[in-house]
Amino acid sequence: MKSTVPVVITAVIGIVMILDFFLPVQSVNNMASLLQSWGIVISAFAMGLGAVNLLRRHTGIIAKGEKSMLYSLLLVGSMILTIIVGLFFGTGSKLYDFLFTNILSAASSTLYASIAFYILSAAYRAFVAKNLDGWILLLTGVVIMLGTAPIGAVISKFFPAASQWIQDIPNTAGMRAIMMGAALGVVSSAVKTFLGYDKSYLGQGE
Amino acid sequence: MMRSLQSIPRSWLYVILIVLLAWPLIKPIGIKLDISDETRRCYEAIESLEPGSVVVFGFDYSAGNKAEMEPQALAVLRHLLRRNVKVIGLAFVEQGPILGEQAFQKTGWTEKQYGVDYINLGYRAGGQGTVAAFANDIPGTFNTDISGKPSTSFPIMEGIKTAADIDLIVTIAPGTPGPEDYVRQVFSSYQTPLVCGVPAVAITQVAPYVQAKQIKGILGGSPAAAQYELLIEQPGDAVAAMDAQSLAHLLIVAVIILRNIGYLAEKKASNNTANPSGRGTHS
Repeated sequence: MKSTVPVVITAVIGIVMILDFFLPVQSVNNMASLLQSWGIVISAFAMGLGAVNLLRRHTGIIAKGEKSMLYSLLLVGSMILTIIVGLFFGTGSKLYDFLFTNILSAASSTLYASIAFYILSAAYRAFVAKNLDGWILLLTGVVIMLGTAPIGAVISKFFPAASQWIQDIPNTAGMRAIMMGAALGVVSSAVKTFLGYDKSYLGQGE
Repeated sequence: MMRSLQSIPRSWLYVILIVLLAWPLIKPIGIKLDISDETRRCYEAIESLEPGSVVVFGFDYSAGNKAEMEPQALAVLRHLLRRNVKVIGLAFVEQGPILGEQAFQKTGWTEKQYGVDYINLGYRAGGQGTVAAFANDIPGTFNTDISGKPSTSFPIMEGIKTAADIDLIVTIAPGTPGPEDYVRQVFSSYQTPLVCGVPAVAITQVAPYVQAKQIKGILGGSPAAAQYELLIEQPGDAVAAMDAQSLAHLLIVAVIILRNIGYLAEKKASNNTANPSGRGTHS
């Protein structure tokens, strides 16, 4: 009973959503819209739950005085500050905008930009062609890199043309195969879930 | 010499990269930029909109990828402003609304009438499921704007019920929810034309949908943003960054070549040491 009821609920909801996609029946469409609204509400709650969990975890670290407590202090402090500013001054306020632009945005962009250094370092250390596969990967990488930057066309028109060909033909073909495989996998997983063979989402093994 | 090519200190590489990135930003080189077919398709999709058309603009990026995604958003918004269409901004990523507000300000949309010419409907949680809900019921899913006022109280929302009432959807999205979710949940049911902006690394993932004509065009990374800026004749940050990106790519290619020359030379040397006569081991 404990596992049957959730499986039945899951199967019914899943079937309603599938029917909604294929059938222009008003009652089914209304039911699906209602379920979608519930989904949005549950997602919003999940975000709140995530924030509470994060706060609990890091206040625990601070209380125990663990090694990484400085980072936890910083996280909890930033979180409380942002919540206070958002609640009392509004997310459209200048203060909130200041925090977003000058702290979050600047820090995030810096982290994103540091990828360039990792890529350079990784390319130097790992991009060594030791066999035929390595050479194919290396040459493809070089063509794509030169083809996607304006300098490639300045060196030779071959680079943008070859880069486009690689992206349009072999890459897209491979990507299509992956997407179709994944879609079939999703269908099979959905059938298993609806029939109650897969109960992993209930915290149980198959 | 060849051995040293195998072990260039990491710090040297980093310093060279910083110099190559900073130099063209301070003193632009002006490397010629060609317009790709993909960027031109996006431009034409927006150019073909009639004045007064309704466009949904998904600010589905966050501060972390703002550097790569925002130039695309700004260039497209500037073009939309010129086309005299109505823009409904929304987000399925939590930082989207504030980035949308900034983008509207930077592109001059705020000089137009809020609620009549453009609106920011804020963020809704839930990922792909919420994209589906949006397609089926726009005012129901986004029932308030960013300031909390009922969305249906604004003239721009008159007659807008489902995705079928939208002339074009633009989403600037580096991840999920993104173009694939719009194709599955919006295009497959309503055939609403879709244009998207993605990071350069995600082009491959979205390209099959363009070939299948489910997406009208994709903007890939900063180069596409720069090309778009040139197409609308308003060069901005993306055009300025292209010289720096070109030199960085060139540096990466150069270090790969140097490393492989070093590796091949060392391999040859170790083969010679193992077999100094140069003859085979079999008699």
